[in-house]
Amino acid sequence: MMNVESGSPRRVLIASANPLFREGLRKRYAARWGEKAEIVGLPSTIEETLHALEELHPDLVIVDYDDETINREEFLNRFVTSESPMQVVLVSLQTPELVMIYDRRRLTPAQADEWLASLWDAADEEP
Amino acid sequence: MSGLIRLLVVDDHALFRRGLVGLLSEMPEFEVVGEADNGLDAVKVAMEVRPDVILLDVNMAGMSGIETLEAPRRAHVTAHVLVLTISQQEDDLVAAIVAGADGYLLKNAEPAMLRETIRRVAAGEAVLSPEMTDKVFQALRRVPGTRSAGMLSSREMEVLRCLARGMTTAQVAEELFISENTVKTHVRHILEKLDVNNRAQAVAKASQMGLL
Repeated sequence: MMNVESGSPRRVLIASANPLFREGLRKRYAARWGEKAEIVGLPSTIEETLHALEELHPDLVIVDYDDETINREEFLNRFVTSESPMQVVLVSLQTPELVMIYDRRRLTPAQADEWLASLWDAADEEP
Repeated sequence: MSGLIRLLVVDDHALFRRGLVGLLSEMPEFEVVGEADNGLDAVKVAMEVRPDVILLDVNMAGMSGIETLEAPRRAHVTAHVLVLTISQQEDDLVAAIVAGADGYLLKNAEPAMLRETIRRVAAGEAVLSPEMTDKVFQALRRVPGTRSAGMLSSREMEVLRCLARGMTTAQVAEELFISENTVKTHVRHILEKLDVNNRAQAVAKASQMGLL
């Protein structure tokens, strides 16, 4: 969970209108990640979430959208228009749909070349 | 009840369930003795670990909510059942109560409220999310009933009206200036006379009969 670029703990934001979900994830993963990650915020509305994105610059954002207090489209619009190289886990307690994970990275052309090559390597290894 | 309150957590949303288990595990009066992600497994695990309280999501894929709620009962699992759900639908609430739920709490509850609700349900009380109390009344007022006010004594009616307001045993005792043991005795008589298993069912049936 360390931030590869800086070597510092990864900054995690957990956004949900649901206190049991926020606190549950915080306790579960804070214990599991230890010093490798820091929970930097637990916003409960879309306004708090967007504000936290700007102020706290998280590396990983876990968003429980309910389209009432935390709107999925509004969050994704902000995510798409920003340039932060963060990972996003998009989940909803209200629907059985799959959890979506967005992993946006900033790479140099050389790193991009390695990344693309590793994709093919991974494909070759598949049974 | 003495010792730890043994809990079984049943929810098909793995992220929520595991987080909830993590949360409950840090509350010293509870012991999470099992987990399940569907109704069928819930019954198997419940029969094996014999929990005191089952925290049950009734909106899981597969078995319907009520089937999920009734399955442990059919298997003679005697645990109290606390429904923990996102559903604020009146139909889900009423169906859960009728099927034998001892409590109905929304997932947007604060951890402290969940903790207190589990304690109360484990102690045999029936508990509803405050947001859901009005829905019970709205639902039951639409059910045509027959009045049979002579069935309960005037004191029992007073206690019943307190229960309908969501009061705890202690609050009823304070309201009516009687001891908590006396309140419990009245509640027991009310349950017997109305032929129901818990306080929520008593309120529901009394409303249905036009007593409230």
